[in-house]
Amino acid sequence: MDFFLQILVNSLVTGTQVLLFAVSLYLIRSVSKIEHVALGAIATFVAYMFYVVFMFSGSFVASGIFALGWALIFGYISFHLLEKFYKNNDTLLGLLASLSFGIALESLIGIIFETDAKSILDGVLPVVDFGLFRITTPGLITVSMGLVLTMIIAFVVLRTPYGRVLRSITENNALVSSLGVNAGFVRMAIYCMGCVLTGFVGVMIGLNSALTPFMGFNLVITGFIALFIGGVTDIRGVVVATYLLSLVPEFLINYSPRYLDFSASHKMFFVFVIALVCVLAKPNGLFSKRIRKS
Amino acid sequence: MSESDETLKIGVIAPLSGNASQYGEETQRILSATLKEINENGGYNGSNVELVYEDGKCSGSDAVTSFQKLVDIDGVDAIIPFCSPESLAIAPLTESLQMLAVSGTSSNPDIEGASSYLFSLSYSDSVIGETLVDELDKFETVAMVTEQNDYSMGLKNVIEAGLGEKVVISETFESTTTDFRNVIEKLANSGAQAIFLNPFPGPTATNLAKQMSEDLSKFEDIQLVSQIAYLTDESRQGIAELANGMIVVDSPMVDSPEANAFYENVETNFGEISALKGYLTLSLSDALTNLVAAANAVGDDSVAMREYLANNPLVGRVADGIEFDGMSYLPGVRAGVFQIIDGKAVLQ
Amino acid sequence: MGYYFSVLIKIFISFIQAVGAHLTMSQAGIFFLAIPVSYSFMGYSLAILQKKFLLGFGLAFCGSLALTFALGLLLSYLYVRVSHESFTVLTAASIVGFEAFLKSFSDLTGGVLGISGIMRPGFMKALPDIVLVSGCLMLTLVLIENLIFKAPFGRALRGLKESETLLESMSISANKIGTVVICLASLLSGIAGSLEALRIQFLDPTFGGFPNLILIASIAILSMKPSVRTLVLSTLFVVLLPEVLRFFSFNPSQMGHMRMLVYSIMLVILIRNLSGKFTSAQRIV
Repeated sequence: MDFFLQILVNSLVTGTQVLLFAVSLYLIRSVSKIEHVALGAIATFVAYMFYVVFMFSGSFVASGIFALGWALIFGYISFHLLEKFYKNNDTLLGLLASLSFGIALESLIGIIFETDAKSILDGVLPVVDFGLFRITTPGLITVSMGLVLTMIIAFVVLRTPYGRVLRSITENNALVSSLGVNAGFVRMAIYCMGCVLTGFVGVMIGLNSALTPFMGFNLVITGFIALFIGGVTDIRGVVVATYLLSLVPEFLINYSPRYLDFSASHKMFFVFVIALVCVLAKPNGLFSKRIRKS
Repeated sequence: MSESDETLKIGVIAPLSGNASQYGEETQRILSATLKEINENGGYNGSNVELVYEDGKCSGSDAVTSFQKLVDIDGVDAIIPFCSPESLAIAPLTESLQMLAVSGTSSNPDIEGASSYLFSLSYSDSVIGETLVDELDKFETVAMVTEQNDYSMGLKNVIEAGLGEKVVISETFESTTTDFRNVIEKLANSGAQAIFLNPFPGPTATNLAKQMSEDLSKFEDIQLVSQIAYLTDESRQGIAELANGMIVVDSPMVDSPEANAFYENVETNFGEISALKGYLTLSLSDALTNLVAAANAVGDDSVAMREYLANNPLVGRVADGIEFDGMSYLPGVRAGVFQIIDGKAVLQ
Repeated sequence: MGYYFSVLIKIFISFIQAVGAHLTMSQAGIFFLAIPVSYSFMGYSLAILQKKFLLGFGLAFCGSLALTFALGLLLSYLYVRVSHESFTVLTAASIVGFEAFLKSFSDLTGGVLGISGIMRPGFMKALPDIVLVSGCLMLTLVLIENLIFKAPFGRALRGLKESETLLESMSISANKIGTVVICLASLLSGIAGSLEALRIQFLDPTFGGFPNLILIASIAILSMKPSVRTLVLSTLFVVLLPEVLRFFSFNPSQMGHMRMLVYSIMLVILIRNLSGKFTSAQRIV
């Protein structure tokens, strides 16, 4: 039982990291139809900015404010970078531009900080012992804050007028604007929110394990996959798909018979297989309904 | 091949970008320190020796393109490749173009005999692997955790072949992994009497050990065994309790006053070395030293340099007095068995 | 000369691969991102059939071609079965999934250690021979693609991008067109991969992957028009750009990162400039 719970808790931590990426991708896609995969690199850069100030000041608050500032700057840059692609309906070009931007950021991080892993906190991390399982303090913050933030975002998107505005913007931008909503400002705000969310994840990853220039890439790819498996317009599906992609491979790896020799390196292979099965079974998303096309 | 000229140019193929770029950066620091020493001591027949770097990304394809650019455009007289995939990829080219390549760090057993123009001053993975098998064979059950890189996977293959059914769990993880907690849980739950830790030296190894230290009670009755990753004092910073009693297998020639003076020289003047600290620092330095020594002896013709190195004793901090004896690897490198006692690696 | 031959081969191989991406992504609007998977798959199949199953080059090549065609059929089945967006995601996921497969199932693939010593056939022993073979293939494809653009199949591809419904109403099966072009792209990418494997005579899991996708997708995106000349020019630009950067004397420890930084910034600028220039015209009422 202890083993099961510990694996579950550890997987929930990494799953929540992916969830925040997936939710950010969902939000940005909701308003611009572009998958902003550079969020992985943005999260990494923001985390490094946190690290720099923390090394000088030792203050979480000061580091957090500085990192937040950078996340907002990247939100602004992302909006201006990708707005043109949204307006021209060039979503594939937007994806490619975002990917290239992400690579540029990762290269910049490699130049400034070099590529050896950096630990924000020295020494062994503080651990909270719940008896049957243990979790690090940063891990606990990640899971709790991540779930709370996701629930708030899901509530806003599904149940509030703001959420309805959000979902309307990509349906008919002109109509929404004619109702007095500044669609451009909403999009920029969403980009900033997405960058802040992923920046938070980046900092948490840095606190919970270590910072490397390429740490965001696998997570954003998994989030990207979860977005489509869950259904690009359905945030509930995104949440379920994220945990499906995070938990199932871990349990397969840890509970498989010895002769199969599955290990942590097989994880992305299983993610792909699960994605394949889900998409074949539910092509339009996990909670999609069958629709009649005329 | 270049004709004799005043400057000796040596090409270096190392991972300057990508996941392995930390090793490329440390390679540059070590070789820069060695180059400074060489040029201060007369260089190549009174002229300076030059190094030309190309990014191999630890990938065969990039290594081949880098090799061709170094040979055709830069006109280098010899090559120093870093990773085993880079060395293996350029091996056929070194043979066909008669271009000498001496690595200080490539260790894949397939390098042996891959080309008569390719040598390595590192120890083959099989040397360390066989000693590890002897140590791990003392236990009934063994678990392993291995990073997916050519060095660690080479060791894993040797150990699995040697131990057979004794290996109850053999976990592998990608080089980009930073969170090892599930892997650690699986190892601790395996019931193994010994755990072999097999990451590549550097921050990954430190990170793995730190996360293991979050719950030391899991490893109280388990013997930890490792390789070069936990040999140096710096690699065990912050994990003293976990590391105490750990058995580490590596080449014994890493802690001489001369070696320590060189480490200090590199770190003071060129930057920190952590991933490559130890034997690999010295073997990398010796690769450059021996290429220059060969050029000083017979000129910068690659064929002549190759003949010289193959048939004469080598020089340097680890290779001094040793001959290749028809092999690609440095013979006679023995593995040393250390135990970590009160924070120090003590040779057994 | 070896370096220049290698660069030429890279141009020819990239063009061969880019034709597939051009037809799928640019002309048909099918976001077929599994091109690096086919590239790597056929390279590995060729190497495994030669080294592990000890087949001669001819048989190994035909076998790997057949396997890659089967892969193309499987991917086109996915295209038909799932939504276009899901297809995009699956093909993107297949890149990481395939790389994980290559690294983990090491008994077959050699794992991270890769497969070395891939034997070249007699007619491709030296680099100039590979230049000749790949160059001839490229020229052939230039002619074929030109013909495709002028043929009903080419028009059907562009029709698929504009409006699938309209295409179906003209009794042209969108699924069939999609299947053909995906299989073709898979095969071309696979042939390019096997040529590259024969050039370097070594394979490891870094072969293909996202860097390859970025390279080929960039070429395809930069040559949105149904024009072979544009495709050739795009290939030359994208392939030669990182080679040009090699000659700048950056600080060695930052060299690789600087090249990637400059390359990706230039791509962002180019792509931004291209946006809106090649999408279908909209009538504003």
